[in-house]
Amino acid sequence: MANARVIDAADAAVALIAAAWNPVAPSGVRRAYPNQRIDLTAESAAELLQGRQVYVFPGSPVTSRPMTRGDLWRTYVLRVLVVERFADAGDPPADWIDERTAFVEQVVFDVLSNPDLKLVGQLTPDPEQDASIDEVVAADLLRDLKVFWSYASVPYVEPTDHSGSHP
Amino acid sequence: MSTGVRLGRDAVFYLNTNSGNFNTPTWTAVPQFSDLNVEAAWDAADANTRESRMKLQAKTLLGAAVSGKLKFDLTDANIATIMAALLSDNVVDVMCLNGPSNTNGAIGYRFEAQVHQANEDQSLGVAIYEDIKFVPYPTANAKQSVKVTAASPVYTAI
Repeated sequence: MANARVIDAADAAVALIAAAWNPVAPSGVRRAYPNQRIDLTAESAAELLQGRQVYVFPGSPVTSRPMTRGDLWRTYVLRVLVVERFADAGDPPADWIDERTAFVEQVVFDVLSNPDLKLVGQLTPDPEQDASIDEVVAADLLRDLKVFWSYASVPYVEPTDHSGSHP
Repeated sequence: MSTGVRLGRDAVFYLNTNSGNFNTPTWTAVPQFSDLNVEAAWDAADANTRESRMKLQAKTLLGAAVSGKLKFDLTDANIATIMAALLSDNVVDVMCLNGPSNTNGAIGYRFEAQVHQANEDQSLGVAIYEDIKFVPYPTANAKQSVKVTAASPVYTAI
C-alpha cells in the first residue's frame, strides 16, 4: 500500500531541508512520529541530544472539501521541530541562540512556506492558511536544560479527484 | 411526508460536443464547475381592467440563463471552447440539469447560448475560477425544458 500523502509530503520536506542545510553527523534531519515517551532531564538531554536535530512530523488535520463537481481540495499540515542542546559550560549565549533562530527561519520556515514551492506534485503552501513558527524558542527548556527547542507548522494544499488521486 | 432531497452538487452542466448537431447531441459533462445557478423567471404584462380591483398579470417572456463558477484550465477542451465563446460571437449548445442525465426526474433547460460573462477573481488567496454566464441566443433551434425520463433527456420546446 502506498504511503499516505502527508507522509510523502514529510519525506519531500526532509529532502528540501537537507539540501538547504547539508547537515554533518551527528546533526541530521528526518521524518518522525512522536511515538516515544522521552523524559528530558539535564542528564538525559546530554545523552539524547547530539548535534542539531530536525524532525518533520505529519501533522493534523488532513481535510477535504469539494472544489468542483469533479475535484476535491485537500489540505495537509507538516510540523517541524528543531532541537539542539548547548553542550558547553554556562548558559547559552545570545549569539548561539540567534544562530539557531535564524536557522529555523531561513533553512526550515522560509524554504517550506515559499508560495512558489511545489513540495511534491502540485502540493503547495496553502494560501488560505498561515504558516507559522509556533514556538520561536521554548524559554523553559532553554533556561532549565540549555536546550534550544523551536517548532513550526506549514499547511499545504492540492487538488485531487474524488478518489483522492492527485495529478 | 415527502422523502429525499436533491443536493446542489448533484446538478450537472453539459456541453454538446457533437458540434453543429442539435438533433443528435453528445452531452459531455463539465465537472469543473463549482457553484451552478439556473435562472428561470417570467416577465409579466399588466392585464388590469375595471372588472376587478385585483392586479392581474400575464406571463410573457421567460428569462433563462445558466451561470456558474468554472475552474480555469485551458488544457481542457470543453473549458477552452467556453472561453473561446466568451471572446467571440460563437454559440454553444448547453444543458443544465438538477441531476445526472440518466437520473429519472431530473429537470433543467437546454438552449444554444452565447457566453456573456467570465469574471475572474485574481485575489492572492484564491484558486482561479471563471464566473461564467450563458444566455440564450436566437437560432433556428428550439429553446427547451428538459426532463429525464427512462434514463434519457426528453426535450419540450418553450
